[in-house]
Amino acid sequence: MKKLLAVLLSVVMVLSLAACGGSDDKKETKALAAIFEDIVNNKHDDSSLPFAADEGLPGLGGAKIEFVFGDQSTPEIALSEAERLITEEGVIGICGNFSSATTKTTMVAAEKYGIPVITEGTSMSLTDAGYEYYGRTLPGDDVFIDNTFAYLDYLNENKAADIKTVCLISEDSEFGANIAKVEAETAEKYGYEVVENIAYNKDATNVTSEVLRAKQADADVVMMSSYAADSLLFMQEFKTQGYFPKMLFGQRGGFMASDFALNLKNDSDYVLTTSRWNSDIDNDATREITKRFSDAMGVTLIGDTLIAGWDGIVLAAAANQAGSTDGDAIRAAMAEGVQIDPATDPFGLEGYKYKEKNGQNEFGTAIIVQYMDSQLATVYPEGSASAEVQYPAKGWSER
Amino acid sequence: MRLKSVLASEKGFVRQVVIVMVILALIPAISRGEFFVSTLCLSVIWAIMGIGWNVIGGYAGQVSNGHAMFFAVGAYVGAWGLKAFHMTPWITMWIGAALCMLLAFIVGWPLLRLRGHYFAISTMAIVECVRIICTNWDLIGGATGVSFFEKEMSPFYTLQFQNRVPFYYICLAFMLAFIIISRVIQQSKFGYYCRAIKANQDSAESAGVNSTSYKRWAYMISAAIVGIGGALYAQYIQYIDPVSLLPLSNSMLIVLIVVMGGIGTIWGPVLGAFIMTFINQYARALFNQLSGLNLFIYGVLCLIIVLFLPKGLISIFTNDKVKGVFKKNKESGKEAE
Amino acid sequence: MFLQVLYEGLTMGTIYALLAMGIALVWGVMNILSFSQGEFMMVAMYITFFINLATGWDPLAAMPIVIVTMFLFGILIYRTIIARALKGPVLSQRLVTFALGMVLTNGMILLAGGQTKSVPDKLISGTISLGSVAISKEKMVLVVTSIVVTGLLFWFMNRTKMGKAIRATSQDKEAAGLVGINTQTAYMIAFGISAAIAGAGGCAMTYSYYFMPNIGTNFMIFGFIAVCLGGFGSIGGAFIGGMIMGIIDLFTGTYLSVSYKYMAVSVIFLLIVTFKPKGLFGR
Repeated sequence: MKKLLAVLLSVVMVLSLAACGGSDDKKETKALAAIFEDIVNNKHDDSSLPFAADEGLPGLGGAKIEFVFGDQSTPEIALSEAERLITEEGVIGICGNFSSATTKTTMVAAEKYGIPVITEGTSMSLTDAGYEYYGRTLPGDDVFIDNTFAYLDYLNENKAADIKTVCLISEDSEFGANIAKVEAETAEKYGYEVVENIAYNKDATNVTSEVLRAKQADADVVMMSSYAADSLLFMQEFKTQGYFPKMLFGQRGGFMASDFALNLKNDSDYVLTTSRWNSDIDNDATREITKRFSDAMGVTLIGDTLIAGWDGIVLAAAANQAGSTDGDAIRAAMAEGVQIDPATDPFGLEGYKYKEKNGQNEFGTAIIVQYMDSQLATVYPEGSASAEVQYPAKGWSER
Repeated sequence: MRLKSVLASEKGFVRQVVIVMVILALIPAISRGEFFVSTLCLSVIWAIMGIGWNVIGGYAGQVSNGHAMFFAVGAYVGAWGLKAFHMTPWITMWIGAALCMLLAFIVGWPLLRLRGHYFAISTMAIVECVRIICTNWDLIGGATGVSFFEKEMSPFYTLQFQNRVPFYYICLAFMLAFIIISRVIQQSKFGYYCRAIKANQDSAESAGVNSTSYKRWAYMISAAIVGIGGALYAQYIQYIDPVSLLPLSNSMLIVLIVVMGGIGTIWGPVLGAFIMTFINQYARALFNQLSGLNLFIYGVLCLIIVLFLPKGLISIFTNDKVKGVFKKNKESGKEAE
Repeated sequence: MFLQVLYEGLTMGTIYALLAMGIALVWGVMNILSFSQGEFMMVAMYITFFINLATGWDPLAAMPIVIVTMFLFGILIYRTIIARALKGPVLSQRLVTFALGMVLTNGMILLAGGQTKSVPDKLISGTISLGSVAISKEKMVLVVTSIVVTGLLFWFMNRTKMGKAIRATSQDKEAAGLVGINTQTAYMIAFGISAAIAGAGGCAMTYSYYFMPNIGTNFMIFGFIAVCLGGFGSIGGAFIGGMIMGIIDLFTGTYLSVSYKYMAVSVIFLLIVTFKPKGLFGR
């Protein structure tokens, strides 16, 4: 039996060290993986997802796929687990890391054994490192943040938004620090003034000072990068201090997590965030996977979870196309372009062609979503938008 | 010959070293699986750090809760030396160790005057400062950390091996050296004074022992050994960042390992490191289904060992006076594993 | 702005103070540096959460139950673990509490999952504006709880027989035993009270915090520092130490640098213990 592996994102703690890369929970990723296993391994005539019509992967003589799970709470654990999964479980590829830090140690093992990895850590340091077996389907920080500022330009032009100043708030580990760096550069490029740049402590006991500073800076847009717990702490404190900027822009992470709307309810409204995918995207594959997932788990599927499983499907498709489970053959298929029928692709990407040089998929795109009535709605780009952006945001007292 | 007389008086110790080293050297014969060998490497690295901590915490009785600082300094120097200057860890680890000693000297100046919980908390506070400095200091990578990946150079130059078996033997050699150093310290006058300070600092001082100086030296030696452990760890993991090097739990883990094994003994840190690392690694692989279960079990085991074996696991082997029994017990202990 | 920062600093200080008083009590009475105090607080938060989930009670209504539960929980922990650890060396006692913290955190992950939780629809919410200062009612709950708990604790320690017995035990165990005080009971009650303080604190914190199983760890070191600032396990000192910490935290964070605010706390602490090794109010 052929195996596929997902080193999955977890909120498990190691000796109380939380290392949740993005926003996911183990259970959700596992549920999604089970759905994909079922679709690929069994015959589904009515399904619009990849490999549904066949049993197993046709290019590999009907081989079945299996997702095996590992722990990625810390970089050290990710390394150990990657080694275990490669040498003891015999996986053909690794997907599902969200944090760039754990991806870097996973790559140590993957490069040694020539096992392809497709994960979605956004840090530019991943594509700059010269890994041979690395792939990233969706964009890195540069594109996400470029999109963000392009969107501000778009609002200024089309909605007379009059946005001039930006306040950056980011957490101080690998995730936030890199985003802050790119944000500052991109803001300069687009001609926005950064009036405050706050790097706060990741395990902060309170964020009052941070919020007071942001309130005093009173920028048109507050851009944030935070993990789940911090983003909630910030929202609470924003409310306490009676401050909400005209636009609050998150960079995925905690702002995309299912915990966010679950805890905040309607207080999450007006928050924008860049995203990888959203459940309101208009195609059959999206509708099907969203429905299957909410039937299984009872919550709405979010982009960060979907891509963790989807990268596994891409790996399977690459192996199928190469007709081999050899790492080099799979990587070659990735470089050449993995053929996935657009009709079966919830992301609706133009293609899956991972650059030989740095592993970035040439066709990766990002979207911008906004919380409306505690649900995420796509607002940009115009082609996939399902709702009109709500701008400027109402202050707390007017809601 | 002096060496001969030393060896004669240390017969028991030499026998223990030979037995343990032979067993540890033969272990990779059981399995050369990457996960198994990695776990062995981690065990040895933790053992080195435990031996280092034991010098100040076990012999001199100054319970530092901040050895992650030296661990990080060693790791950073090793990582940057290789990444920026292509310097082999064989050299940089000594630079790191020297830096650790310097740091211990400076930090020890005010801190070592403190006693009991105050000393422990102050060392924790210092680690917190180091963590914040490392996170915000862009010159050493800041929050992004240091990722170093050298494929071109010889693995014996970079210590980054495809299969970790050679790395394991290198670590083992270091561990052997530090075990001998640990023994020398224990048997020397220096070690004797350290134990006197541990037993009762005031009476040691009134007997003319310069406690500040002895504590400072113990702290510096301890820092240097942990620094080398850090350098080896950096080559093991090949990516370091402040978040993974400097949490409080790392400092506490070092202490935990020594106390589990047997504080103030030669073999305690080694035993503790091997058993706890193996439990930790395999519990995680085994209880993958339920988040948190592996560390729950780990924590419960720690509780049980600390409560019921206050002198550590080593006391299972040493409760009989007869030294010959040690050998027998040790082997049966290994089989039980 | 200045007044706002001062107010927020004092609010944060009350959280640190609540944590520190629990640590100081255990430290003063049985000389254990309790690493599990933050986890007790976390457990209290989850008890509040579960009560709210099951019955819909507001945290304020649940608080007496939480305090009593935590008191009993503390006694249980004392009887099963701490009493035995007290016979061993000082270091083992500290590690026992660290391991206990690990067990509680991961046990809670098993029980409730690692996601962030919160208590919805609180009874008291909103903001009072006093000129330029915005006073959050949620945070007032914390401040009031902290003041009431501190007051009760002082009354208990100074006015009741048991409190006096605990104080006597903390000053001299043997002498206390000689005058007929059951030191074991005194220890047990002291540990129970320390857990109960965490109970009150954790319950009040659900008003303005989101929580997950590892929340306790973030606070722990600051609790320790607050105790040290105040000086050798004294409860009043711990309260003032916590307040000082809150003010340093907020003022350096707002006016100097957010990135280095915790470093400021640590550095000031190190300076104080360097020049006054027994803390600001140490005997």
